[in-house]
Amino acid sequence: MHPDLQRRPSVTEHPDLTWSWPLQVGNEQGSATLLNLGREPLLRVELHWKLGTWDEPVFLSGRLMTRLLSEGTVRHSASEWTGAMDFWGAQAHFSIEQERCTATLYVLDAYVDRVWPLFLEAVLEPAFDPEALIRVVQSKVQHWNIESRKVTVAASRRTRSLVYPYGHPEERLSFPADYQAVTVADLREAHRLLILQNAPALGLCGPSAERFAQRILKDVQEAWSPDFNRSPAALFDVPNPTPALIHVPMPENVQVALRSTLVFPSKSHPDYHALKILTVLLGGYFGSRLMQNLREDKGLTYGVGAALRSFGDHGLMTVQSELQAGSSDLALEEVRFEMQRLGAEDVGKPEFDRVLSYLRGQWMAGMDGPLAMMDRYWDLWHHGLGEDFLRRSVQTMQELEPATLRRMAQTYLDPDRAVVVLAGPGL
Amino acid sequence: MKTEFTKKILPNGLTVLVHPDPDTRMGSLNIMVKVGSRDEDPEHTGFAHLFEHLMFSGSQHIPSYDQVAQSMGAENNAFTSNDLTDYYLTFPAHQLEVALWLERDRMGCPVIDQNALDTQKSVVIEEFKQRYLNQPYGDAWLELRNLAYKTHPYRWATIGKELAHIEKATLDVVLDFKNRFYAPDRMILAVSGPYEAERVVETVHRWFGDWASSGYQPQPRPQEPVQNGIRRLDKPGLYPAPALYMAFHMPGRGETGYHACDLITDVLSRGQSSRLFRNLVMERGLFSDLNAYVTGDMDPGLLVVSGHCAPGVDLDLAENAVWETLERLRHEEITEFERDKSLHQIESSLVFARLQGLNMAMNLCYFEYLSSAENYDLELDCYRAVTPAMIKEQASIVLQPRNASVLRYIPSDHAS
Repeated sequence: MHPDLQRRPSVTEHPDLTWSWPLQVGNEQGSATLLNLGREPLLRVELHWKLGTWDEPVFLSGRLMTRLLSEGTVRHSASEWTGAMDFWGAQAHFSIEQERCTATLYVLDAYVDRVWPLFLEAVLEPAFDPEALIRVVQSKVQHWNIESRKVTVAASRRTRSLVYPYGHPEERLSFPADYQAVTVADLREAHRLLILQNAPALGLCGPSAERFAQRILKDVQEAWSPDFNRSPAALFDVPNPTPALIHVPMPENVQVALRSTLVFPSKSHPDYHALKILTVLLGGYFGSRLMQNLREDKGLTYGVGAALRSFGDHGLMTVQSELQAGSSDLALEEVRFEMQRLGAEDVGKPEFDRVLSYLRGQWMAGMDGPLAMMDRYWDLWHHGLGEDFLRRSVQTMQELEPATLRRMAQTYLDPDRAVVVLAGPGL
Repeated sequence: MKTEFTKKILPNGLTVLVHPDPDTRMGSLNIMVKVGSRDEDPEHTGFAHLFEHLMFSGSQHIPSYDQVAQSMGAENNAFTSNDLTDYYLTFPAHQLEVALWLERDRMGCPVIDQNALDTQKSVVIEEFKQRYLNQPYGDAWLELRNLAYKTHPYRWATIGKELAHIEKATLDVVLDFKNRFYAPDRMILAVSGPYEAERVVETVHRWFGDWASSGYQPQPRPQEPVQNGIRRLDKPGLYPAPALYMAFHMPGRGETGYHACDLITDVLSRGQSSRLFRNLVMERGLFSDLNAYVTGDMDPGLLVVSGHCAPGVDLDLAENAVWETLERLRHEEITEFERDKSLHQIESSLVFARLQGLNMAMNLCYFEYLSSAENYDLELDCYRAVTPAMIKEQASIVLQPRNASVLRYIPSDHAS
């Protein structure tokens, strides 16, 4: 029997855009966010703080502090602590970003009782051993030396220094001497201000999350008083930067890195959902206009993308690519052309429908499984948003008109306001 | 851990695997093609990967693969390794039929013309530059493969031995490659999602059952002769730090000794309590990073140790320290604690790998290609069966200087 390849099979069902949302369980002192889902016997426990690198008391001290949380505690040497965590197959991740710190533990259900106390000990009582600091700084400097030879890193660093005004924590770029200047006392102060003096939000996720919730919540409540809450640094004003086209010559490389950045509104702004769709159309998926133009039509690059990143008070929309040397002028012209085209004419119906279908699929994938759902929850929590954000997101995908998208492009997607950086050879 | 799945081999040789997962609303479709860079002619390398790019150029009834994939809300991509080429698609579960139609047309009736070839040659050349030439140490694997292998096709990287092979690719050679390797009897198709297995098998049969098999059997690959002496390559240049890459020949993925070698690398560098990290990074501060891993190739592969020296550290001294650590493994059994630790870590990783439907589909395909999909569930047992004595025995065979290829990057101010 030969299938009819000429005809697309008909599908009558629609994407399921409903969602499950974590529960809050707890007592008068506080609560834990709980997602008791999944089949595999794995528990994820996470602690979230709404303070990050922008709140560091000394430049880089928060970044080095989180790195040293896995380097031993006051009761266990680094070898003992990592040996025990590794022995039980557990993974602990301590991370810090601009506006958040996170401590995450992945552990098989069978070993939670053995691993959780060690994990909490690392968060509460890190050793901050001076020798460990020296070693970590050396490693960071080495990493810096290697990364700074990359055109992508050079372009991103230069972009940051141009987009953010003087005095903004994101404007300051790190150099080896900055890492070397951080002391153990700085780490302790960063730990006190960012971790100890703030009660974290607690989350548990996995098929046995409920079973462990009360015990873990009790430990967290004993460790932090709910009154401990230091406010994040004041929101920084990020005015529209001065448009620029900057070349960073790196003659030893063979490709040119392109970064073209515009300041956009943050996730809490009513235009955000439409802007997200606009960004995807421009460069957020394989069929995007930039990907079709620069890669599939002209073969100038292996990949080009546009991404929207959101902070508390602003967002950044960045187009990025690594281009064939000698093609950057043409590529820049095409990026400008594609930005302007979105503001000059309505997106045709087939493309409009396609991008919305793609986004509905992505939306479902982003809610598929307990870990993905929990990731979505925490991302919104950090932005001070909740389920209403999801409702608006679905509503936008259902009701958006091409004309609205064009208006968004006219308002926000102006290539003449972009900060453009090219790093590489032949500039 | 018991994985529920159904296996059926269609009359045309297509192997179909279905993993029902009632907890998800997403479907996953994975097609593994039994062709990788090891199947290439030494004068035409990089073709399996170039062909993977061309498979996104449209097909007889579907001019734009991506437009259809996006219109069904799917995310898709592909990758090529030394051993295989893999195409995957995740989508809202109710779109399975469309996904099968899309893949049947692409796999069976791709349209590859000169224009598509010219464009994708340019794209692949930029990929080559981006991955291998545009960053410090980017060429490490090009050099290391060439040093470690003298006969076997693993001596070139998936992207190709040199840019000229891609630049000179002609439509005839590309189409010949397709006709030999892209046929149902050289493919394994797996579906994961909230489906009834029997209905999925029927649907796959309906879409793929008419496609004729090729019957093509690849030529036997040249075997790599046993290495009988250490091979060295020092690369002086403007590098940010001295770097060391050591490669040792080891058994293939399905061979006896593979799991012991994998456990050796766990003992050496998995987690911060591992020997290399604890001794040479944390305690002696010789390296800023140091890793050990296996390539996991189907034919005999490589066990690799690689890292960057800490600032101011002499590369010879650092290399000697690695040799001392390896030497200990050849002469002393690992402790029960180290063995149990590795087993817990592997157990944890295997559980983690089961969380995503696409991973399940991909892993079932891989084990079916390797031996049998049923063996996926036996992985943990394979590791548990390895004793400290077996690890010592394998280390004494593999971690010998005469089995080593050593690539070193020497910054100009360190070069003698």
